This record gives sequence, C-alpha cells and structure tokens, in this order.
Amino acid sequence: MVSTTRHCMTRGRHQSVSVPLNRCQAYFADALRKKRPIKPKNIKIFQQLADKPYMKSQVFIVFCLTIAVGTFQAFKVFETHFSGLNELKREKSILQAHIEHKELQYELASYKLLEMQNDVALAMNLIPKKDIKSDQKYPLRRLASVTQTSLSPGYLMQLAKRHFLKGKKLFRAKRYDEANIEFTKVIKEYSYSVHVTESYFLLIEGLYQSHRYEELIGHVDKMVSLYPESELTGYSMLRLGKIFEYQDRQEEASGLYKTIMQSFKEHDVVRQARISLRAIQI
Amino acid sequence: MKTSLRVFLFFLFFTLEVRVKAQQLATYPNDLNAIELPENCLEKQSAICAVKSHTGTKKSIKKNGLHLVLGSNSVVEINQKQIKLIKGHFLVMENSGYSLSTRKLKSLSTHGELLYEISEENSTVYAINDHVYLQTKGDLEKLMLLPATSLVIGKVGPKGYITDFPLLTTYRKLIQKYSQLYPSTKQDFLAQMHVYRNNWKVSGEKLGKLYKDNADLLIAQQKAADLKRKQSKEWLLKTNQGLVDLFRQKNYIK
Repeated sequence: MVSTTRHCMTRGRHQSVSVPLNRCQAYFADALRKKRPIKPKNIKIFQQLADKPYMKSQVFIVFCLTIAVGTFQAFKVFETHFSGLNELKREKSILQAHIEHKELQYELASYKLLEMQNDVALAMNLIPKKDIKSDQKYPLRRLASVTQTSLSPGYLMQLAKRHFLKGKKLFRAKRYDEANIEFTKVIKEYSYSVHVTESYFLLIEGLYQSHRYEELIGHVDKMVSLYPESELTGYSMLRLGKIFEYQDRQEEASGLYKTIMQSFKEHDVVRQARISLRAIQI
Repeated sequence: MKTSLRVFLFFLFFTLEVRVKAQQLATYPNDLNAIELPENCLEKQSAICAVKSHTGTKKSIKKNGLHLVLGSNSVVEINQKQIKLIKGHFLVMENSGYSLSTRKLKSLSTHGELLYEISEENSTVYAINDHVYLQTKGDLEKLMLLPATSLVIGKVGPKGYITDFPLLTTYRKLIQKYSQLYPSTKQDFLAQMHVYRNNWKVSGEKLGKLYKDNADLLIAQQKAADLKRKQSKEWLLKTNQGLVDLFRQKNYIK
C-alpha cells in the first residue's frame, strides 16, 4: 500500500519524472548489487521526498466517514426540528397515558361490579341455574354465572348423560337394538342418574318397536315397582295395554287401562287411558 | 483516475441510508413499569391509590411493613392500610400492618411469603415458606394453609366460595411462578428454595394424613348415604306394593 502511494523524484536528462517508491528502492538495491556508485543528488532527492508529509488513504476514509455521519446527524436534527415529529410523539405519549388511565379506571369499576355480583350471589345462597332459563330472568342468569355447584365435574353423571344422549340419537335413527344397549347401560351402571326413568321409558318403546314383548313386560314391571309415581310409568303401561289389544286380550287391556285411571293423576295419561278404554268397549 | 474514485467514494457516503430503530418515548416519566391512579399516588401517599403494572414488567411496592410485587399486567388498590388484589399475579413478601383482601377473600395474611394468582374463574393461593391464613367471604372460619401448599378458590357455591382440598405445590410449578416475581438476588432465591424443599417434605407428610382422614370421612358419608337410599327404596317398595300387586294380578304376570 505504501509503495504504491509514495513517490520519489528521479531526474531525467531534460525533466523531473515521478516514479513509484519501490522503483527508487529498486534503483538503490540495483546500484548496491552491481557496486555502482550512487549519485549523491539522487540520495538527496529520495530523502527529501521520503520525509515529505502526505495523506494516507485511511485518513481519507476516516475523513469521509466523519463528514458523512456529521451531515447525516445534521440532516436528522434539521428534519426533526422542522417536521414536528417530536410534537406528535409527545402528543401520542400523552394520549397513550390517558388511555391507560381510562383502562385502569375501567378495570377498577369491573372489579367492583364483579365483587358486588359475588356478594349478592353469596347473600342469596346458591342460585339453581336450571330454574332461571326464561328471558325475563336475565339479571339472575348473569348473577348465576359467578356460581358453581362443585369444583369436581361429576364425571359419572356426565358419562350417564353421554350414554343417554347417544341412546336417544340411535332411537331417533330407529336403530332400536343399539339404542337399547345404551339405555340398559344407563339403567345398570348409573342407577342414580336423573336419566334413568326416561331411559326405562325409551327402552320399553324400543322393545315395543322391535316386537320384543316378553322383555317389555319385565321392564314395565320394574318401572311400576321403582317409579310408580312417574308419568312415564303410566305411558309405559299404556303401551302394554296396546300390546294386549294387538294380542286380542281385550279384557286384560281394559283392566290395565282402568288401573292406570285409578293410579295416576296426570291428566294426559288418564285421558289416553280413557280413550283407549272407550275404543275397546266400542 | 484515483482522484475520481475518491470523489465517487466520498459521494457514496452521502447517499448511504442508515436505518435506526426508533426508541419509544417514555410515556411515564416517573415510573416506566407501572401506571398509578391518581398520578404519582404512591409517592404522594394518597389515601386511595390504584397501581397497574405494564405487560411484561413487574412492579415492586415498598412501604412501611409492606412489600408487594405485582406481576405482568396486574392491578392493586391501596386504601390506607387495606390492600385489594384486583387482577393478575402477586408476590407478598411482607404485609405487617396491612390487611390484604381480594374479591373472594375477606382476609389473607402470612408471616412469610405468599403468591396469589387471579384467573378468569378461580383464584389460587400459594403458601411458600410459612403458614398462610385466609378467610373466604361468607365463611366464618379462617383456613390455614401449610407451607409449600396451594389452595384453589372457585366460584360461589351453596356454602360460600368453593374451595378445593389443599394441594402440595411441586417445585417446578412454584419455581416457574416464584422466580418471575422474586425481587432479590439469585443467591437469596436459591436459599429460599432450599428452605422450601424442607417445608415441602414436612407438609407432604401432614397433607397425606389429612387426605387419609378426609377419604375416611367421605367413605363414611357415602356408606351413610347408601344406607339411607336403601332404606328409602325399601320404604317405597313397601308403600307401592298394593299397586304392584294389582298390576300383576290384572296382567297375569305371576
């Protein structure tokens, strides 16, 4: 790098010629090797030129960079000063602070509302969620959203419900045999489930549709034993009466209808039994 | 030639575009970690002061006898000597002379440290190296949590707030939550965890006994319920025998 930028002057016959430094060095080296005398004027010229100050390329680059950075900075200062960006940024930060203050106020208000809801729910004791389905009771339902019956999910009840719903779906699809398996599961494995009575009823219906009358009678018997007060038991007995009618056992059917009329208070069941009885008598 | 190259290079420096990521201006000149309502209320010692920490930051509040650390995006309300934990995660380092309360808890206190976590549905209390005393709203009795245990507080139930059985808090779970809020040095934290390990063993044994007692109680209750159900079934069978007999007689079943 140095050899390409430094120059020494060597004099020609008529004028001074600028030659690179390495050529000067080569001149001296060659003279020494060939034991040729070196002209004193050449030594003097070389020494003068070697001592002469010059600008290195690194200095030049640094100089350029300094100018560039300085100008860039000056430009940025100039730009921000006249564009109003600082003002906008300040406004933005003020607005942001304002929004966050409002958000905090909102959170405090929400907390107070929720706390009040909880306190009211506590004071009212537990609100049974199933009783507040109507639209008129919207505030109550909102209040009930903070209530819970238990932390445990009640897996068994959930399972029973799942089997029952599956059975119902199969029943609707007229796949009675498969539906009956699900209803039997609910009856046998989850005997404390709220779906047992309905499962019995649908099982009886499924058996009726599958023409499995012997099993049907057994299940109606069980239903009468376990849930004599249920309306669904009345309907199951009506179904049994129909079987007797198909089998031409008219007297037994009429006896059954009379039993239903005596034992049940539900209007629909009694009315159905009465209609069926009249049909037999006619 | 070389001179022209230099001039060209010099010119190039001016065309160079330097892109620098803009630094956001400080919105809160006093505290970058939190927002206070009213402004600077902690410093001014206002009667009521609400503090909210920003997302991704934690805020440490130190007063006489109180050292509370707020996790990311947490809200607390300080009303003279009453502190309401409103939203988020909290680490209570010291609370002598101050009463802590939440939406679900009437009081919460400890001589050591505790973590309190508020989520959408449940709130969880973590006792770290000392007992924690808490009283849910609507409950007359205070509950005591053993060190290294946690308690989940659910929604409103038939008898006040539903609380689960206390659980032993695992290292991994606690370290994850505790380290996020711990305000002191790494050495202090390790010392705390060393104490925690010993507490964890002791509490594990005590909780085991409690679980056993509770299981025995549940079994006894279940047996009593089964017996009652059996008795009522028998009574039902007996009372409806007349109807059953009539049905069977009419239908020639037996």
